[in-house]
Amino acid sequence: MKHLVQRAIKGDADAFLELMEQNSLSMYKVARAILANDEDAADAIQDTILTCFEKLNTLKKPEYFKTWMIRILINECNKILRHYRHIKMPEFMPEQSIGDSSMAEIEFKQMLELVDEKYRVVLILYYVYGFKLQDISELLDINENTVKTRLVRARNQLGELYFGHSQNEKCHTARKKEGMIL
Amino acid sequence: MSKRKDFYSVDHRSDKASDRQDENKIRETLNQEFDLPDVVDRAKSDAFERIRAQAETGKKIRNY
Repeated sequence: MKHLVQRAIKGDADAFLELMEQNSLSMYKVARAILANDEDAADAIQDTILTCFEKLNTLKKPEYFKTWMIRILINECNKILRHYRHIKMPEFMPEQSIGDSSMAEIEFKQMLELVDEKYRVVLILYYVYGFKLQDISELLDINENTVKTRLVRARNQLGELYFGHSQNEKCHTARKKEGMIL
Repeated sequence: MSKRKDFYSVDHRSDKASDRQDENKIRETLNQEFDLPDVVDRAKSDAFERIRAQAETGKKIRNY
């Protein structure tokens, strides 16, 4: 990937497009986690690709490409959320039918939907991108302990709602974990 | 005393094993590969076309 980034920075559009192709699914996962619908995720991803292309010359170190790109994507998602707040829409657009979706996509969406909105993006950045807690804290501009708490709570919600662990069964462990980090 | 020790060690191990299993399943589910939804794929292709056009013609891809 580093080689592709270097070529892209030098102005190789094909290398840039290859980079975006390689990252498109994980970008979608982040956008979906923040925006909760595919139409807005599509807008965010399109704007992110165009913005990355326009600002590629501002990227100083190729090794920071992934973080740089995700920061742009999160900004684009936040712009869309601000837009909705500005026009005071009560809800997001209704989701299209999932008739054409693969089982993998359905499972992915179902798992995300079981978790509170504010915990979703932390899950994706941690489990899909493999970012460290400190990186996530910087990307989302929140305290590192808040990242830890959100991750623990997301896991607990999935434990209960996805894996079917009873509240009592996990309660002791959850309290212990949260107590350590709050 | 020994019973108490056993209780804690067994409980701790099973909790940890269960956490690890859950964690693996979360990681696996979130990392599954699938095709982009159509609307997202179209948006991506549109951005790619604009970039290719700019690379060929040098014209700006967006007007602000």
